Amino acid sequence: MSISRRNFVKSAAIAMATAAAAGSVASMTGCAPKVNEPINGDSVKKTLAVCRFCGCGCGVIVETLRGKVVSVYGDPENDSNRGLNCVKGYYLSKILYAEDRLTKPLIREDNSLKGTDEGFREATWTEALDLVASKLRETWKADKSRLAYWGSGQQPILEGYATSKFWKAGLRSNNIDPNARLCMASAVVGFMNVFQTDEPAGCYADIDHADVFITWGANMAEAHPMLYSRVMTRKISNPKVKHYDVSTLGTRTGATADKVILFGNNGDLAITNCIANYLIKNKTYDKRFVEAHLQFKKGTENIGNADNDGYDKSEIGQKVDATESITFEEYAKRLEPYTWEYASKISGTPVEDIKELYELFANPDIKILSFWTMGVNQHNRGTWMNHNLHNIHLLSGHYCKPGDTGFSLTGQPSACGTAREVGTFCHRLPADLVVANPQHRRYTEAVWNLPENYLEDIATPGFHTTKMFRELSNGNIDFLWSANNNWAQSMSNLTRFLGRGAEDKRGIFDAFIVVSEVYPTISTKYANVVLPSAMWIEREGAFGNGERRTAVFEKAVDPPGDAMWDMWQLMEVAKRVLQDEKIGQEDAFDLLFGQWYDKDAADFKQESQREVCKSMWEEYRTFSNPDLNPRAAAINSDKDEKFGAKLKMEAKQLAPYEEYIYQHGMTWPVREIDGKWYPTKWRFAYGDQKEGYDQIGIEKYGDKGLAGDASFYKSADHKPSVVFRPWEPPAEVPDDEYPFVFCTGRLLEHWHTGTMTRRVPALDNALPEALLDMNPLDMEALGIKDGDRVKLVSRWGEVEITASSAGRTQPPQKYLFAPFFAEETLINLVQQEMYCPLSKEPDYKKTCVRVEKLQG
Amino acid sequence: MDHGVISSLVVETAPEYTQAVASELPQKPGVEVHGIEGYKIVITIESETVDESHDIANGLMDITGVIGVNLVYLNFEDDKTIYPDGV
Repeated sequence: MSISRRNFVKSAAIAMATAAAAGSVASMTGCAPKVNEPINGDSVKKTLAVCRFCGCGCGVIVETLRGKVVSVYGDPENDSNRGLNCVKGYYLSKILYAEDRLTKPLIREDNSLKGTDEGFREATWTEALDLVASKLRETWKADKSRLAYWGSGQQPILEGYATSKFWKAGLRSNNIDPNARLCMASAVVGFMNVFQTDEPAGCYADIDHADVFITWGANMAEAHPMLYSRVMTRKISNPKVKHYDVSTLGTRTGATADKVILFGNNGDLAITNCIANYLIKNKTYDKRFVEAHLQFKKGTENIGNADNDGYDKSEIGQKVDATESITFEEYAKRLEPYTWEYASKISGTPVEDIKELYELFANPDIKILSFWTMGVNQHNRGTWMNHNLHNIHLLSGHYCKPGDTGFSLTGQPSACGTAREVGTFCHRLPADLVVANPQHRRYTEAVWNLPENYLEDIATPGFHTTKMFRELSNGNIDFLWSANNNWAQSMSNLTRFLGRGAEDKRGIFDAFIVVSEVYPTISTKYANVVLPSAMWIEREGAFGNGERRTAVFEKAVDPPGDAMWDMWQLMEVAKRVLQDEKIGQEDAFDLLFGQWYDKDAADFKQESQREVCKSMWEEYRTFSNPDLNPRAAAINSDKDEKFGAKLKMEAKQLAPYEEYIYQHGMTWPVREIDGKWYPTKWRFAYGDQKEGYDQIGIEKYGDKGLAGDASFYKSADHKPSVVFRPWEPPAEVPDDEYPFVFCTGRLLEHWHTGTMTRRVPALDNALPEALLDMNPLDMEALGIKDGDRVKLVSRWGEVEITASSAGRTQPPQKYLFAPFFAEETLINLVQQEMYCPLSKEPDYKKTCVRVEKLQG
Repeated sequence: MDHGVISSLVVETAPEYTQAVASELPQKPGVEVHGIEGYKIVITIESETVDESHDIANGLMDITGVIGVNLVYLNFEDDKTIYPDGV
């Protein structure tokens, strides 16, 4: 670049960083570099984007010149990150440009080579789409229980919306589930059971107000670096702020905490019940809050484990969701066994540590912000543990106040926006609606302009993720389409699901598998057709992050080669599968997608992706704005009193599409006041809407003046449910044969299965190998030295891996950790396939294993 | 440097180390300090490639007293490993 441009870029870079350091959004806005002047006749174009990686959902601005990305910077006007990015931001654009991008559709010619990169030929889109659609249609017509779609919390919102509409209304199949089942399902069921609404009440700005942080099973320093940076900023700004890390092993998060509290044996359940017990016993709970806001329940107990394919339909499996009301006194009675000593005995945590946690919750004068994520969710009692965290925050009144609440962190950039809000799950419909509820089906029919009762066919949930892959391995799935995920590496029990077990299952080899992808992965090795996709800013999209923030990313560059937008892929498959099909008297495809897609022209009707998204968003946001559709409005208000309840769909109100661009993302519900849209940062907390409180929601549905200025108007009787959830043991407990507890997870450099980050040499060099972190005393006892190759053996499978006492985590004795990013290690070959019986989310944290030293 | 990749970052420090870190930073390749806001230090890194910039930024975590390194701005139109023929 020229000297004058270089000087300009550098001074802009300094100004941006200075403003970000000062932390004033107002001052930063004016500092955005004005680089739109022509450079040799070409202009630098600026577009809005959201980071492609973790669940933080940081805003970025992308600058392009002559169709190429030349710079990125943190978006100062996105309130999630306020101008800052973590160091992964260096590679946001580079992930577009690795040499092996998929640019042509691939068709497998030799099925005997399935499981390898061989046996494919390049194909035209027409050939590939004809083949995919014919296989899907054939399966659909023969037996629609044998088709499946596996989506993602990385799928943009509207692509998820259209996929869900095609699957649920076009094919009338519920065999669609996202990889969010592997990360957030326990949080979802927890929220739904406690609050009857799936959402965190708080927001990232809570960090700036908290006096105490507690991380529960959350390695934020590596998995949510921007949020953790904000935690550190808060701590430094006020030395009295403390951080407790409650974990099963030492992590970078623990290393910077004021205190690490270690536990094992599902002891988190016992510790939280112990805290609740003494809050009541010592009368240190928040009496006003409890009386005003809470109801108490107990649920089915002794629920065993989902250790067989028929668990969900077993007698106990069908009862796991059942609850019944109990009195506060009965709840207190159930907690009584959870004494300091009992909780300590179960968890291995010293009594004084549990007491220290209790003292925090017993103190009404401090603000406590709990964060939790995969350690809590990927748990054979993950839903119960979500309950227990809500329970102690609710009992103590530390809930839904700025800086004083429980916050479930998400793992993926749109786990909330797409998987949860759109409802790409086997039991869900958009906007918190569920297939099993007739009023919800009627409402969805109204928004989708379907004949009444058309969705009766999908009243029963389909296969959840583990069930889907179990049935695939059993040979009961003939067609699988996956997008935005890498199931062949991220699923549990890969020994079974990749057909490598002793009881070799042919399913994966016999099924017709379609993978939409941007790079070759282990999942594409098992594909029959690979569809090359446009990624990130090669198309327009939107993500919904962990704090309910919806944010748009604009198309900035063209995809390489023949790679195409997933939305186009979906339309082209849908029009072929639905050819000559009718819904009522109308052409099925045109009724569902004709507003946006011209099937004869094989193109969208709108002139740009912006206009496609804007138009589709208008339909999607009708779910949360029933007044836009009179038929839906009548069902929402239960005008004819057919259902006996109002739906309150406005409680999650979304704004017109452009508002999200104009405002650089907003947290829902968004409310219109005098023609201007305002986000809600603090749900169920009464205050000025313009300051981010839930004023309009509470005035419409709730009650003012209750304890804590809270009103839980989405909950049944406006009262969240504190459900007693006991301690029950892990699915596997260590024994002589398998004496170690093995945990897997993510580390800073690599995003999930590494399909993007491992293509960046610097990131791969920084963390080139998945190491097995061991305690030095265990290594000594087994005669293992750093760098030795070992075999990790579980009841499920085995892998070879390099042992280390100097890895990123520090496990206590008899605990092990290894990340799952490395395809060559494929650590999930040893993972158990047990899941939380309520949420169906697998437990990736507690498989029992042994370690064998390999010779040589 | 009159070409190459430019990035700006905010380096967060433990308050008692801010001055020491600010003194040490300019010794790192391509690093310039442009200001201090409380315990946060504003720097630029200039290097040949994005990879080099990233390595330098990552290495800053090893300086005693550094608790966080946040990227703000990154321009790489001169990175020949990404655009061998320029933009």
